Amino acid sequence: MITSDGPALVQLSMDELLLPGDEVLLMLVKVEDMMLTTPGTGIVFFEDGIARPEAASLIRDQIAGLPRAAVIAQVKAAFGR
Amino acid sequence: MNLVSRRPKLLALLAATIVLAAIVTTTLLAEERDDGQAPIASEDEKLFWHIDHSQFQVAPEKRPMNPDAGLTNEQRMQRIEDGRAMQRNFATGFLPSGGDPRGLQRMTIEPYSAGYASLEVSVDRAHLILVGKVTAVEFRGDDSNDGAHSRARVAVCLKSSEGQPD
Repeated sequence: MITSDGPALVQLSMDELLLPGDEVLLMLVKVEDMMLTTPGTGIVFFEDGIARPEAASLIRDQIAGLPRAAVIAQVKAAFGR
Repeated sequence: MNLVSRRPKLLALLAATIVLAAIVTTTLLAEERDDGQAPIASEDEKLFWHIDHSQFQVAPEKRPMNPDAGLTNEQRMQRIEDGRAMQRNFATGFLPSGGDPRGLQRMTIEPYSAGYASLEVSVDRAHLILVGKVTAVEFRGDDSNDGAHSRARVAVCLKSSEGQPD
């Protein structure tokens, strides 16, 4: 959007923007005909294969800094708990 | 008119004036502050009531500004529509014109809700969990402040209860 400081991208700290090239783990819920990220936890960015949760994520301490394989393992382990 | 006979009236008037002044002063000093604290009593606050504030000016940076001052209703509505069109044109035209969204500053808003508090709850509530790479984003820019729509190429699908991902 155009702001008083010029053009800018506006995002929520618990629903960050996904831009082309981002490597991500997405947790999505279906709402009508769209898939939306689960609030606060729905996006985990991987920067050089290392997890960076969203800024406001409450599971930040649980997965920040882990390699991608470790995050996937945690997600799989969370099934059925 | 007999001056002697007027003197009691003058004295009575003077006494009444003194009493009235005392009542007004007491009332002013006894007024409570807006925050419900103790009545005004300090010397500074007594002084406040003796300063003529009628000539005080509002500091320039504190003055309220009405951007619609002097406009007709039609002009005001036109400005609103022009602003919406400017936002819509930017949102829908930025990427097609070759703009790089990573070159834009980001503004992050803190919502009231913090979202799910555990990985387990998130995994349980999610219909679809995947790992992949974002291939495209679209800003539709309609008047409902529609969010960005992203597409991703899926590398790993960890959970799918609503059919296969796009």
